[in-house]
Amino acid sequence: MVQDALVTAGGLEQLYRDDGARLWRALVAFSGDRELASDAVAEAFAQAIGRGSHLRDPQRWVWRAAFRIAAGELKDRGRFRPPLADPGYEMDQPPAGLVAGLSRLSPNQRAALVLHYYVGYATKEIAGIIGSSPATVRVHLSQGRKRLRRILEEQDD
Amino acid sequence: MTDLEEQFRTLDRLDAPDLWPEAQKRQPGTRAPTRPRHPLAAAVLAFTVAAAGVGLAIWAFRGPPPAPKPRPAATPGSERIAFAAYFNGRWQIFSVDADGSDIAQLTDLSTDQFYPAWSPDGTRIAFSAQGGDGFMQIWVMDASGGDLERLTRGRAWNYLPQWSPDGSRIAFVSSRDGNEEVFVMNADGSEQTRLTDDPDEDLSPAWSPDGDRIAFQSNREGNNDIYVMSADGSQVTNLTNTAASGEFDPAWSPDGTRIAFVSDRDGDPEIYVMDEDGSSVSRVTRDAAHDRSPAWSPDGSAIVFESDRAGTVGLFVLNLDGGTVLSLTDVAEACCPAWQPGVPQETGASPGVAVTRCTQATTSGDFDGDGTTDEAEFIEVASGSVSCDRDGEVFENLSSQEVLVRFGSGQTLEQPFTDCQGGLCAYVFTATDLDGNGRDELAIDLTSAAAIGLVEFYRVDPDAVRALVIADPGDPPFVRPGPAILGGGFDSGVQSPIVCRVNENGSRELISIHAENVGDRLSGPWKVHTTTMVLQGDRLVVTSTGDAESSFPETTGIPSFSKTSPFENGCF
Repeated sequence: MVQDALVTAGGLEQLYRDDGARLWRALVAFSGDRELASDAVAEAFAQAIGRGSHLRDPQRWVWRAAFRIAAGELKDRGRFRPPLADPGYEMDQPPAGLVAGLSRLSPNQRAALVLHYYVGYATKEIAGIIGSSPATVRVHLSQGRKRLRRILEEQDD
Repeated sequence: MTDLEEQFRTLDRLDAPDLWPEAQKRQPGTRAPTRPRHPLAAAVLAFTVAAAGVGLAIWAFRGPPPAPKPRPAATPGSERIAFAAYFNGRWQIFSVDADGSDIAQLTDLSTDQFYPAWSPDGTRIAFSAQGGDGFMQIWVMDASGGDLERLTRGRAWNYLPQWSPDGSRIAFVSSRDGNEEVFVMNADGSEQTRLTDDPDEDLSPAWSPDGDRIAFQSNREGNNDIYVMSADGSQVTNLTNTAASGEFDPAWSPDGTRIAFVSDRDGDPEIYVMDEDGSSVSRVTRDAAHDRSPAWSPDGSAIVFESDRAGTVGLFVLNLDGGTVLSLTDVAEACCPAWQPGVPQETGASPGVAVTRCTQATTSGDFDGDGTTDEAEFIEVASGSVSCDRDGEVFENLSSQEVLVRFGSGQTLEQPFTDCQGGLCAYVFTATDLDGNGRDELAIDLTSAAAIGLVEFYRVDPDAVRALVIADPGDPPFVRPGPAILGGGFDSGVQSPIVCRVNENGSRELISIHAENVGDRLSGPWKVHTTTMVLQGDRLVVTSTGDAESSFPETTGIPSFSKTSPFENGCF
């Protein structure tokens, strides 16, 4: 509710301060690419600024726009599976293991897991963000969870 | 905290850059727009459709549907559409007439059900049911929800069933071999056979009407494309062959000449149609929302599909001849539609969807200016038979909200209301005459009880309730152009009362006050910004703005939003 009032109060910057870092980290986990995450966050907020008070729920809108921008960018780069096997990739342990594991899942499984386990969104909200139906999100979550657990166990071995 | 939650918490160790300066100076790119539609636009569209007599009823707002009656002799075009909808906290299978009327709930199970598929004679429905172990299994039932029979078992996902045109077999997707492959089985569940075999995901099988071929989606070449194979799994051909975009959800037209599918080649998922050999591709939906899951009408003239264009995921019907898109289910969240083929049989009795309509607020005024009093009600529609006496509690099973206006003239207006922030309104509801023209406007508090109020102003016409608009350029950042939503402080130090004032010369002004406490006491000092507006037609035009520093009485602080009076109203 608090976020809903932000645009009216000129508070997109406040939304960025509250959510920006979390959104960026979620997009890094989704895309495996800091630059792409930065681009998607900046673009989503730039578009939100351009829309002004026409945004009724700026928080949900920005999350949805940023994930769709990131997914579009991944596809445009022709690598829907992100390049996390790249040994030169700079990321501290332990997030590196998680992000590498996520990279082996499908884009929708990645998005569903990140939005559920990191951000805490429910199935219906995730469906709104990735533009899918809750039914499909449940499949992504269940299968992604199973696969990610297996991958993380392999990493431990 | 689960193991995975702990893993994801490690993301917090990543140092995030400050991107706000970049966002501020960046010109938004030319990427596909991701605009949300104004919720009222969807409501008005839905109402207009109903009022125009097109017959697409908005069942969620119509109260309990009549008990379904057996239909002895179906007439052409009376086929039903099966779908899954979120109801009472679970996804269940429903069916509805193609004109949006006569909704019936077919399953009432303790788990979620999805992906209904009709048998070719229209008497049976296969669907996917989530079991207690988390996996989905395929079941079949008759068209009224009875005679349930389970077809698949095991610790794997078995879902997306599709009946063969002769009714003898069912194609489906199974993850039993480690990843999704297309399988086929006899209609009684026997002889389950794998048709595809590759390391990537094969999904969404769709039979050709002659039964010789099966279209499906696969990402075996790196991204999703539509493929077609012989019904025995041989002779696989990529029909779409696009490296840069995803294609999915194929659906064969009833005459076998075309395939509808979804592609994001133009930026966001839209419905496309191509010839069955992959040629002559044309886009048939145009909306920045995600459109998916197309299913053809039996005569091939229309496609029902799933879209989040109205905010939540719902069902829409596209008339291919005229290109018109009409909402089938409106507010209820719904997915995965399937159109009943051919002439339906008797459906028999099936349980209706019980809903309770609770009036949460009433107000009266002269909205149409005819000199008689009009009564307005704000109604909550809750699933099931519930008590309307909430004692401040929010309905867990709130399914929709509605504004009902009974005009003094005898006319009644009933309109879905979807503007409540986060799905809940505080139910403050006031009539006021902002411009003194003898017609009252309606003010509704859009915020839930926990937040300081956002009030939206509406013009009530006999045919629709429409939001007033703040005219360009408004008074950014506090009063921006667009729907007239005013108020909304977001912490205890910032409040935004709204005042309506009648001046000595009779002119009327709406004043929005944005006050920020720059002192360390409730009394202030406060930095106060005022925006004064007058209503001209349906537009609120900003006439003056002002900044001042003020103090207020220690006991009350700045005049604040109150639940009983949304704004200091001198305009009655």
